Amino acid sequence: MKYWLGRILETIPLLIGVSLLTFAIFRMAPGDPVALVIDPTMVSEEDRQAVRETLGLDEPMPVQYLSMMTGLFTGDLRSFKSKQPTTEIVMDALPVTIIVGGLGLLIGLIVALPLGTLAARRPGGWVDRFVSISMTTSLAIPSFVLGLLLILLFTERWGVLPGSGIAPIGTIGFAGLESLPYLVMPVAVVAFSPASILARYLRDALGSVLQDDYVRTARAKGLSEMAVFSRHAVRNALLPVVSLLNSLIPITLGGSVVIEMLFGLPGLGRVTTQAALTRDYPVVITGVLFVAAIAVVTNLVIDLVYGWIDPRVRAQ
Amino acid sequence: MSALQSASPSIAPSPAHLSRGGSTGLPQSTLLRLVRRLAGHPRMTAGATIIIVVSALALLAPWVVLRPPDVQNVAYRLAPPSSEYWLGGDSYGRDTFSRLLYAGRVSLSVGLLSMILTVVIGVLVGALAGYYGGWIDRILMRLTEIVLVIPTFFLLILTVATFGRSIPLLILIIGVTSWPINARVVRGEIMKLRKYDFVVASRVVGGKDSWIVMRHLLPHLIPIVIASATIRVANNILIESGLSFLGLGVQPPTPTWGNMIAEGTSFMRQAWWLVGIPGAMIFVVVLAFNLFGEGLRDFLDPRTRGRT
Repeated sequence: MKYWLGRILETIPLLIGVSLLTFAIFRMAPGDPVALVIDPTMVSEEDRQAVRETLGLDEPMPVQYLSMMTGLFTGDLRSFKSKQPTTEIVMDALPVTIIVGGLGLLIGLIVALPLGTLAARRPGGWVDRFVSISMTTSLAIPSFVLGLLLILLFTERWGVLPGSGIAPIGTIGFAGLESLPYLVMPVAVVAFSPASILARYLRDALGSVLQDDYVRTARAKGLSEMAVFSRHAVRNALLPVVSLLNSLIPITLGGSVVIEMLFGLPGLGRVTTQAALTRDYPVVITGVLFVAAIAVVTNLVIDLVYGWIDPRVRAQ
Repeated sequence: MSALQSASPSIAPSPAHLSRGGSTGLPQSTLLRLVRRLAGHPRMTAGATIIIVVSALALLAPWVVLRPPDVQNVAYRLAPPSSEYWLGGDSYGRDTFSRLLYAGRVSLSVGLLSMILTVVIGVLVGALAGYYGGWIDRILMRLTEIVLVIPTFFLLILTVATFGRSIPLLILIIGVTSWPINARVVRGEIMKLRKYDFVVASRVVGGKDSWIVMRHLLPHLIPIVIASATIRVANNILIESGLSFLGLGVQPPTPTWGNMIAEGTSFMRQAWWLVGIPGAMIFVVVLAFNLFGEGLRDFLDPRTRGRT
């Protein structure tokens, strides 16, 4: 119980740190941050005044930071462009990012489990070689190049999958099953890298677990190879794989920027990027804070799952 | 991407590496030994070859290409590869081959220069945290954790939106946001090393901290730092291409592989090579740096190095 509580409390300073860093980068900009918005059509003098008041730019820094944070929660922090509270904009975009990223990771994991196990069973076999090659490939191919390749083939050449958007024209947000074809390519691109990395990782973890004494014992007492793998080896080899998810989640969230821009998905990455391109500051800051919060919370969840699987972690 | 690199399992020394080298009892020239050692590391050699060829082409671009990258010729608008325009023309009728090489200058220098920054900050933070421990370690590692937990592209978008989009700024921004993994690796190594007798001995005889770190600790890290720096170049090239693709990186008309793809996207249907060629270029170069870095790690690792 103490372990869980301690772990949960640890995330609070981390979240505060993230918000402080975000604020610091924002305030490091030379001069009046409002003056950064160079496009006068975007921001009227009233807006600037509103922002100055929200952020309390004549106040001392700590007060400014606090005003920004409270503005986030009360909805006083508004987009320059649409005047909508930034929290609302970000919350509207969030489901798309979570669904595409979550499905991508899930499918990556589902693909990686059998691939990694098969590769470990026959080191040097063709599955093993395939896993190694796709790992090397996935680390070198930019996701937007992979995505463009898919669009070129499946949308432009064969016309079997829609290449942009999240639902048929005329509908807003997800349209149930009709949205499914729209998700195929983005999810495939998201899944590619985690699938190959997790498979490679599982293969290596299994490879070392299979040398362990308890596996030899399991074999010696006459268990079938199937039982040795499923009951003894895979369960232990999964531990490092689960902890690898901790670095895959921020990477997947970061990658959502490119994928959402490419496939025209109205998610957090696209909203934040477009805000950055039009220097819609409040939206950028809110987007960064939310995405970091998601990363922190999912990392916490994974750590808790890890502690639940492996009692040794809790004992420390 | 960076966390993956460090998370990727290191390659265990193979028995072939251990037995190689001392097998021939004949005296060998240093050059011959070097060639033999390189032959035992095909990945490193292949990576190095590609890097050298691409860098040379990029450096010598003015003497290699038939026309400057900004010359427009309507006759070659979206033209397929030909003897005149080796890799075809883009939507403005500019020479894609020429642009590809000039883009290489930008992409490679952004990758290399930002890597230097990444490594300097990473080693500095990692060494301080690992050597001093205590509250210095705790503060620096918290900072590392904070930078690491913000998904890279969002952190980059925020900084680009704040500071603007020139090439020097881009180098600075990529370098300043990508050091945490390197810092963690260096910290881990230093913490291991500082318990060794030779470090304790140096301290006992009155060695200053800076002396111990510079003379005794960092030299041990050179292999690991060089190898991870090489892989870092690959990552930073990927980051630059992603940002330029999004329109947040290097701005046209200055070509980079990323913004060439972005410009080609609208004409993908008629001229797939506008996207395919720079895309393949990024793939090959990033692959080469990764192969070189991984190969180098094996090559420099004393445990796998053949003794002669």
